[in-house]
Amino acid sequence: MKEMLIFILKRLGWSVFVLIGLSILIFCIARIIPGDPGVMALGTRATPEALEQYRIDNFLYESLPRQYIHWFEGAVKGNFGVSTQTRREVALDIKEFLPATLELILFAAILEIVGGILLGALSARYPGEVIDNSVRVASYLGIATPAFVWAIMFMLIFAFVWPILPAIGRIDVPKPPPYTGFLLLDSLLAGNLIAFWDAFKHLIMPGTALALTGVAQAARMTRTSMMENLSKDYVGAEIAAGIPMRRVILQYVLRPAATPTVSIVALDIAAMLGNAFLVEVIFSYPGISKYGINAILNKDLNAIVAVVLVIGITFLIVNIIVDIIASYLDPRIRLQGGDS
Amino acid sequence: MKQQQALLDIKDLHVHFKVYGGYARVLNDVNLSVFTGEKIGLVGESGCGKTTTVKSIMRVLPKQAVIAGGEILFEGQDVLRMKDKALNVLRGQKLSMIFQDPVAALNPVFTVGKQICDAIRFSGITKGNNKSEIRKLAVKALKECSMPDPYRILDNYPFQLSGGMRQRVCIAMALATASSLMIADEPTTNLDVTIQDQVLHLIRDLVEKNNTALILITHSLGVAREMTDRIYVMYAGNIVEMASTEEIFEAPYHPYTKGLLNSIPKLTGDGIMAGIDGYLPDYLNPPLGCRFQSRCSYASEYCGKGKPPFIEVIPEHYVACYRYSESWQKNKLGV
Repeated sequence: MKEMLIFILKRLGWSVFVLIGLSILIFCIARIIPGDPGVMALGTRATPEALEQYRIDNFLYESLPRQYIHWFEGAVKGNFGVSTQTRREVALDIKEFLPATLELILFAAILEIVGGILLGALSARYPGEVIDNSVRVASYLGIATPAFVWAIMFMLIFAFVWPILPAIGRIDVPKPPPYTGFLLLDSLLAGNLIAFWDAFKHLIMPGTALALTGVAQAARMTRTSMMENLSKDYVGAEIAAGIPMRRVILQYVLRPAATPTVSIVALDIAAMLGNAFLVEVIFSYPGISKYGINAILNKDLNAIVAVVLVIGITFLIVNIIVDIIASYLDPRIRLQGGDS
Repeated sequence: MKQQQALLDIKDLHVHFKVYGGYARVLNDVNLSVFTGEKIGLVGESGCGKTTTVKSIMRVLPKQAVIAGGEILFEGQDVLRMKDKALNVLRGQKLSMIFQDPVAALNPVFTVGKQICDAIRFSGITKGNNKSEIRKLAVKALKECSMPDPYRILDNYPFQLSGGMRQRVCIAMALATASSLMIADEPTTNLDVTIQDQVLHLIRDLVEKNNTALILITHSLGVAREMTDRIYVMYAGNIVEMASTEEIFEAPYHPYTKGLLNSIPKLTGDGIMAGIDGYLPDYLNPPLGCRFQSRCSYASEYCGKGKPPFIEVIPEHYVACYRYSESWQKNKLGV
């Protein structure tokens, strides 16, 4: 347990450096991309005086390092400036939109891990049989079809042809009090099961659309790595020792085989923070991915930097969690490669 | 020895492998028997079916293998027709196997203790699931394999141990569930030369102490000579010669056995030994008759006619070769 704690602390320590580096990078890039933030914020008909004032207020005449220091001083206090689109504090926007996307991605990630490992394990248990072949064909389909295509298809089928699921938004009934911003959690905390069920129904379509590619990848990965492990001598040794086949598969083979799957899902979770954009647009889902893309299109400097930073933080946290899971699954990671 | 019932009796075993382009007929009529407490050597070059034979006994053949015929009687019961449950009990309590590569034979992500304890637990030799009793048995097994500090070893992962230690763990695992037949599939091939001897002695001492029968697979005749009472020589899926270890070394009959013995490098010899020219036959299209004929310097038209009979040349010494069949016929007919 002690080694685990050191491992986590080390990772957290490194993360601080990564985040500072990331913020510098994105801060510079946001200011290099073409377009005048003043014009974007105030409109093409703004007076030169107003534009001038905007630039002074936002330190745009100062050198890049000075600008960064101004930004950093605010950021440490949780002040990321004002968004030019929503005309609100960026911090408030993020507080509203981030939990929505996280909820969506969490739903998709659970689907990926459970669905992917289950299908992959089934496939590996009965190689060459009907179930294996169907899983393999379906996973090709899953990998080849982008999330937004699934999203549109789901919407047509389950919201229009056979309307059993809500098409847009996060919730239709009155929202529970925002303790955390996660609707599922908030409604449970408030004891409001109606809101919980409604919010859950709103997650099903976008979450599944977002997850399907990942489910397919995870299933293929699990299958491959289980097949590989099943042919190893230790499986023969365990069976030869009289351990029943079911247990050998469910415990002795699944655990080493799940490690690469978990890494794949982790990468996918990171990718989803950006990929969620199209799904969020299609389902009018108020998430951070949509907010971030809009910020980039409108050169909303404060929002861009803050969103990228938040995504970076989320990415780092996800990675630490995945490393912890992976090192639990495979002790070699914890005991040999803990320095990286 | 003839009077008592064999502990293990393999009769006419045929095993085929599904491959692209048909079936590879790997095991072609293997007969082998082991008596209680006896140490058997199974000798032959790589790819001749030694491992396939013992994996058939344990029923841990790869998926593409098909048992095409024969029976494997263990204490009179046919292992090949056993239900899974009975088979697991048999594997747990009567049979054990040590694999060639101790690195591959231990699961990398579980502690040594978990693996040994599970083997003990599922063998059913302890009543119920008494953790401390199981652990005690595991420690005892490790101690018998002269492992220092067995309590610490139990909490280690395989990758934290050296090759020799890992093989000792495998032996301990095989030993922990008192068995009546231990199968060792080239247990020292992947070990350091200095460790090989220790591990072999350990195996021999343990089987002698517990009166366990041993099937030792090896391609090293030196190891077989030191370790076994009786040797089966295998070539291309057939048993070609069987005799007591002494006999095999002093008076081999089969041309293949003679070739094998001539291939042993001697410390005093000069240069590389003779060896045997040619390769194993194609299992997809094995030659009619004797499978060794293409490499045999005594081959005649006789050899392609059919599978050579297994002849008892002198008492307790069997050879599958037409040469002895002819002489036998001549002797018998008095020509």
